[in-house]
Amino acid sequence: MSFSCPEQKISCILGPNGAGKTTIIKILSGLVIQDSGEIDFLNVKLKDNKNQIGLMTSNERSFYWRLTGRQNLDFFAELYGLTGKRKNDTINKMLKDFSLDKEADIPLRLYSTGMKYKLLIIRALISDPKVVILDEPTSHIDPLARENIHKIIKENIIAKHLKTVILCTHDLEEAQFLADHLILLNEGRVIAEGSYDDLKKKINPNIVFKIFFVKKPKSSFFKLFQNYKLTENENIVEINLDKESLIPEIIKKAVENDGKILWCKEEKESLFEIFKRLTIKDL
Amino acid sequence: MKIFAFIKKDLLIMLSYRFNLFLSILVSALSLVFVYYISKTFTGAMSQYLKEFNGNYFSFVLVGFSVSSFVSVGLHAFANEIRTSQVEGTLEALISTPTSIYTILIGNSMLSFIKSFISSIAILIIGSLFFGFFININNLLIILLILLLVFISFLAIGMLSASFIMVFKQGNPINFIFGYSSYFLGGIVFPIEVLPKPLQAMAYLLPITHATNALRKLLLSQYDINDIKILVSRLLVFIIIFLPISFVVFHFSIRQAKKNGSLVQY
Repeated sequence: MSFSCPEQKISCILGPNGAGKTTIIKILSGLVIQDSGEIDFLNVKLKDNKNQIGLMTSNERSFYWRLTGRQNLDFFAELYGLTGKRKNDTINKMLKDFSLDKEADIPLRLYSTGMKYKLLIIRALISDPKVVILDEPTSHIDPLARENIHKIIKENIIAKHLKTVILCTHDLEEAQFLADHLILLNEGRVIAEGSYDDLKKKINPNIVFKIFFVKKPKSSFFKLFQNYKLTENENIVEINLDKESLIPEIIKKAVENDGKILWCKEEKESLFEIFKRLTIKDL
Repeated sequence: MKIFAFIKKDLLIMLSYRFNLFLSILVSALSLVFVYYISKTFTGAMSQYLKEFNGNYFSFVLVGFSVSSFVSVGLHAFANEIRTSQVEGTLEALISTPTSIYTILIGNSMLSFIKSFISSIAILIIGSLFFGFFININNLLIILLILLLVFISFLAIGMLSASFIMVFKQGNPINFIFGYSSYFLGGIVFPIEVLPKPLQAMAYLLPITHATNALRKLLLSQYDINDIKILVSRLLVFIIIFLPISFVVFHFSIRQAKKNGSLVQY
């Protein structure tokens, strides 16, 4: 299996249950040994490059609750090889970046779930890794906290800390919102990889353009586009186009042929639809 | 050193449970008082088995106690720490750092071993202050060496024990083989000479038997280092055999658990 993740972007691993998402994460984080082959990561054997991977799971229990947030970070920072001033400076900077500096010295058991999730992210970033793996980063949290984590991922991990993110989630809405690059797995194989648009093209290379007419254009308009698959459903006209550049031309011609448009849009298939069609097709 | 990070972390956690810390010190002190009164019950009734040790049963048991703390730590610390980390969910986070599983295992248990070491020394100091133990400077060094060898012996046994937990999660034959037998046959609370010959033979296979015997000879009978060389060498033989075996078995158990993805399962 091989896949690539663009630098300083969010790549999302998707797939049905049993596809191999968790296994990949576990292999990358050293919890599982692959049956065969070698794991190359940044052109180096993975085991020699573990410092370059930060793992964030949604397991709040993976901290020591009797310790403070700072003491937890201090411990894990040392396991990542940080010591002395560098360690303290990194911890202080991270706590400030994630607005946890005021609560740093209270025991973790008194933290809210949102604060614990922030600390999970800080831990993943503490060794300044090139790649951060976010395994189900928003499971078990409420929608507001979820929105906050999304904001942190985009604005803090990507924009500020310039990390490459590998996101593993079951939440397709989250994947569509966050991911720049999608990796679709099924039965331990990569079945599709690319941006949302790339995957959309894979299941339907044409663009579906929808127009809602208050007043339909004259028949000459329809003749102009007779070579394209065109369907009419009351006031809505749907045209299958092979290139996006035709859209302005269509609007222009519709207006020239006395058509009155209420709205028009390029119909995008949801990631769920793409996911379903690719995985079922593959099965 | 990453090991120190583990010790610091566990020390902070231990200090956060202050009442538990107080209770554990109290329980240790009370167990000494308990044995003291048992021994007082038999004062004057000189046992032939204790002649070598001036007939003082309390001193005899005190030395046994000083070594026995390693038995429970060696047998349980590794396995318990692995299991606690699995259950609490910290093991996954620890393994995902660039830290070897050996460092994680030993680091997580190190404070328990240090506590045992301190407890052993404390018991011997109590013995020397209040019950007539004689510890000269030469003896002190050899006493520390013996305690260190017991420490390493049970480190090896503990790794074997943790290997079973790693693979089978529950059910640990090492505890049965070395745990109960060490308490029963290791000469902690009674001399092994009172046992039938076949059990005495089994007792000689246990590291604790030689450690308690060596310490008693040094502390209670004023033997010198030359007299206990053979006992120390037996401890060394045990370590030379068991330590590499433990590392190999542990290595394979980790590999097995990583292969089948059950490392953090419990």
